[in-house]
Amino acid sequence: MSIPEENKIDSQINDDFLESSLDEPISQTILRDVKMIGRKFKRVLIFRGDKNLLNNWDLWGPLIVCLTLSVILSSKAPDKQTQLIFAGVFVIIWFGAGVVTVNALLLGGKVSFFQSVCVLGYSLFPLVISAVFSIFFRHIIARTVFVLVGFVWSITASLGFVSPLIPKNKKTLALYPVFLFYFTISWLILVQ
Amino acid sequence: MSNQSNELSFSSPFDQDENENQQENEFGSFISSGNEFIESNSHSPKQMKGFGNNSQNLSDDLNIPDFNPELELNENFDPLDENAPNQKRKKQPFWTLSYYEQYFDVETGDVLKNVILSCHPVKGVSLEKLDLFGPFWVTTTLIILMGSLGNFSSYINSLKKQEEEVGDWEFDFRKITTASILLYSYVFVYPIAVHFIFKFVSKIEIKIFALICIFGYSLSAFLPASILFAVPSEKSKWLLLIFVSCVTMLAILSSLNNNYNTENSHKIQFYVLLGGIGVVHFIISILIKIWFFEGN
Repeated sequence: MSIPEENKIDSQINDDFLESSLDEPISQTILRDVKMIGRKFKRVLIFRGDKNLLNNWDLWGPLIVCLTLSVILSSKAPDKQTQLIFAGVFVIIWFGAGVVTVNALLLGGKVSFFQSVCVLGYSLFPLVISAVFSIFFRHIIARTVFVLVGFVWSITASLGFVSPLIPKNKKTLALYPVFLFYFTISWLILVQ
Repeated sequence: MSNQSNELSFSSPFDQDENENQQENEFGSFISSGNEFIESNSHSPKQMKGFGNNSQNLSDDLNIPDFNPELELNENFDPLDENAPNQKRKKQPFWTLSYYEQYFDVETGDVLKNVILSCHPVKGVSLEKLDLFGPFWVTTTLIILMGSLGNFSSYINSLKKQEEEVGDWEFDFRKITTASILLYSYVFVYPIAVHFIFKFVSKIEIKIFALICIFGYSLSAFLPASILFAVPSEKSKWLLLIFVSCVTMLAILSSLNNNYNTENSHKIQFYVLLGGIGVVHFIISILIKIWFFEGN
């Protein structure tokens, strides 16, 4: 009994795909993912381009953001509190993103949990940039300006994603925690 | 009545002549039970000619919806549609997330109204619609405000000293951790204890979520108070604290009194417990002042 034509072609295509993915050098595989993460970061900074880029979520971006922020903030901390601040920033970012997402879910929003955590994490990237700037500029007014710009940028980036998914009469209730989340992190950056 | 079947387009298996013999056919058992039902309501069996025929009268008299076998039963009923009016919410166990959805069924106006009512010494918080959104986010906002403004007030104090200590001011992250432990346990753990104390001492059943509402919203008066604590004078801080504490204490006690002080409750024990709650609230406010907004 001969194999029907469609099955033959399908198995050929599968073989080709598997071969190419297994045979390519590891650097190529890793670079593909790294480029994807980089593209998402750029999308958060510049609101042009593929709107659905953040739909296939990954948690690498939020992890990078979280680690960078924790390292920066704890390096500038008073000596006795370095570990506390590192752990504290970590907890605030992950639990904060989780709580904001659960809140949106409980208010009746239709959003997948990890996708929302992913977007909230990626949208912290402007604040990371302002944190890096405030290492170099210690003057209080310059730092306030940087942090303020980063704060507004982050909020705009995440609002574009979160707000269409909430029922209309509860929009303020769902967006206030997002605002609070970014406010906390901006303030932590400001006082270091 | 007996001529109505001639006007029908729907061919009923129950023709007028054969009514008595219909008990034996395939619809027999159903019809016989229906017939008994009709008889018990003093309708003669002869009136039950066919479904399409007399159903108008039956449904008027007995409130039975018209049975039309050509339509699907309740074709608009969609079990997945949450907005359907006849959709009953299934009761979920308390460890699932959907159980708590019933406590988030509020709008912005409701939350703001409760925040303002929490400062009203006579009315107290309205417990009609229990919600968890308000208490949780008021508490979280207060934690963040106390963390930031507490550090700010210690910064102002170090400025006032005008010695070399100005450069030594340290940002104290422990204020945030202490604040979160203190406030989250006051709003979420302490109500559980209060619920059981009330149950065993004065036999009154107060819902845990109602207590969470009361204590959570009572903290909302401390939000503007935290901003006003930046004023460096020690006297003004204590005055402000006593004022805010008394107002919120009265609101807590009033809402408990209005809702749970029934006629057959043991009055003395109830009032003693209310006094205890007031004292605990006062202690918490003093701790807020001492730990976060030290004077000089």
